[in-house]
Amino acid sequence: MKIQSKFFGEIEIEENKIITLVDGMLGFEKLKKYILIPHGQDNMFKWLQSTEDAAVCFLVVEPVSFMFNYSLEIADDVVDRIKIRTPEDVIIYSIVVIPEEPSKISANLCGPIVINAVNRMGAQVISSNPEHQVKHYIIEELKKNTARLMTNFATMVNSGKAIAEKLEKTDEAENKNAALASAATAAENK
Amino acid sequence: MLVLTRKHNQSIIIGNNIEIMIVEIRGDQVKIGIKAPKNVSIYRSEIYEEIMNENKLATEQAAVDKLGAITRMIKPEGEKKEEK
Repeated sequence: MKIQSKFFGEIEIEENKIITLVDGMLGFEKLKKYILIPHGQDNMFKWLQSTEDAAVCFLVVEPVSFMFNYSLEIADDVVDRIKIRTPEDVIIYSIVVIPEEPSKISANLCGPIVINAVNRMGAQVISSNPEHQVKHYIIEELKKNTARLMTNFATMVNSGKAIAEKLEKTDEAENKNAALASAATAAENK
Repeated sequence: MLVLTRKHNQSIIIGNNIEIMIVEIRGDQVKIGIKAPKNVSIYRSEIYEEIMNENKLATEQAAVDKLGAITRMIKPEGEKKEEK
């Protein structure tokens, strides 16, 4: 079927790809049908375009793509409503806001969209984790991850060095022992 | 909207499984206790409003051209390769 999109004009979509948000989005309760449009290949961002109103299009991102250790507890009523059977079926998206200063791009972790990939039903939920704020600055989170990786790498290098030193010492000791042993056998042979 | 007057430690019942009790009254603050089944979500209404505003902001400010600059910021090497 053909739909009008906000940024890409008229586009052809497959009907079985349509996502149904059972209660719509907060502030957009009447719009329930959406389609995900990837933003080019290898890009972490996707567009969530309403198929019922061309003007409504959100930029979304999976929190796992920029957050270290992201997890979300999904309430029982949501599990029932969108018929989630296993956690593997769930895809979570955060809605992105791009302000005038693009480096301040932020994702909303307080109100993520939970989608059941099997039946394509979804809901915007409210996270029960108080650390999940309405604005998480994506660039800052990515920098934090890089810093974390660098620290981990430094720790690994240091522990590697320590092990190497220990090995060297044991090697030295073994060499000494070997030298002593060969000296002893030489003395015995005499 | 139904408006009821309640005193300290008095409560109201909604449906047959939700009870709301006035636990404490101090100055302009009221502490409310809620007994409800596990599948009923309870949130402060500000959170709803905040998310609603953020959703509206997200659709208003979304623009394809802005994303280019951000992609370059996140993946500088990938972009350079494309330029060659």
